[in-house]
Amino acid sequence: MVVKMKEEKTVWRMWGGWEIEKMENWLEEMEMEGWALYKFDFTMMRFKFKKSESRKARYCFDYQSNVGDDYYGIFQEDGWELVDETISPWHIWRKPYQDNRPGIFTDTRSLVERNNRQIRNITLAAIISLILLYIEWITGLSYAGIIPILLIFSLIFYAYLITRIHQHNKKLKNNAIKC
Amino acid sequence: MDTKKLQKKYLPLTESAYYVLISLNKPRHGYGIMQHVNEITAGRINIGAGTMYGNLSRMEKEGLISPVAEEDRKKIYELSEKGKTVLELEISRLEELLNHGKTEMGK
Repeated sequence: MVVKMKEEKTVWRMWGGWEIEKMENWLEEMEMEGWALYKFDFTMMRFKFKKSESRKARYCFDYQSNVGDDYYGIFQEDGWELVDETISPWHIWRKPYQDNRPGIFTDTRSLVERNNRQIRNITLAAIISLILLYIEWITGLSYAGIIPILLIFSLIFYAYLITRIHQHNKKLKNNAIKC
Repeated sequence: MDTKKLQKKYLPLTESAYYVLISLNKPRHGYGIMQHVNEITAGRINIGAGTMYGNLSRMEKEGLISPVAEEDRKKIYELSEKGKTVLELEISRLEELLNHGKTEMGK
């Protein structure tokens, strides 16, 4: 769904943690077409762009729940700009470039580690859902209600996310083996 | 920790980890390491900011490096004794590889 305004546009996109490269490339294409990202929210599904001059800029996604000041220092010194300050663990970094396309992760290990940080948080959410489901079960409250059904669906959803990210990590590791 | 345990736990180092550790023989901050590595490898190795931060936080947690100072959002690190030992083990491992290659290839 695309909502067009004068100098801004909002694009909704559903995506998963195993499709980061696709998202990064999409934002880079948008910037080439003169749409610079300035905001993202709604669990990373709503992207807001401002009309700007077309340029080559690399976008990179990091996932960090708890970082120190020096995290931002390293990125900024290396010429990366944080697109939006949010409470979400997702950090989108942007850097304009000419010839050599830069990146924030330059080896497979650090990419896999970023994906594992996602898996860790999803696992945590799944454990919380399980505990809630267990409480529902022992208290017998609203057992036939909507809450247990929602919890079961969320558990299935989390399992799906973890499987997909895990498969993606396996692919990354296999690609790193050159011989 | 004895040699065997350190070897099993940390070796072989990734290329980035190796270059981060050798750069921290002198106190440096993250971006300083990135620049230094780029310089000594004549641009062959560029460590990305995310990879850099990941290495530093992991190595600090493992006690291979220790923060020695912090100045405006920059944490300055240096090799710890443990880090030095790991690095020396890796250098002898690499020397062995190199020597075997040279002997077998008749150089």
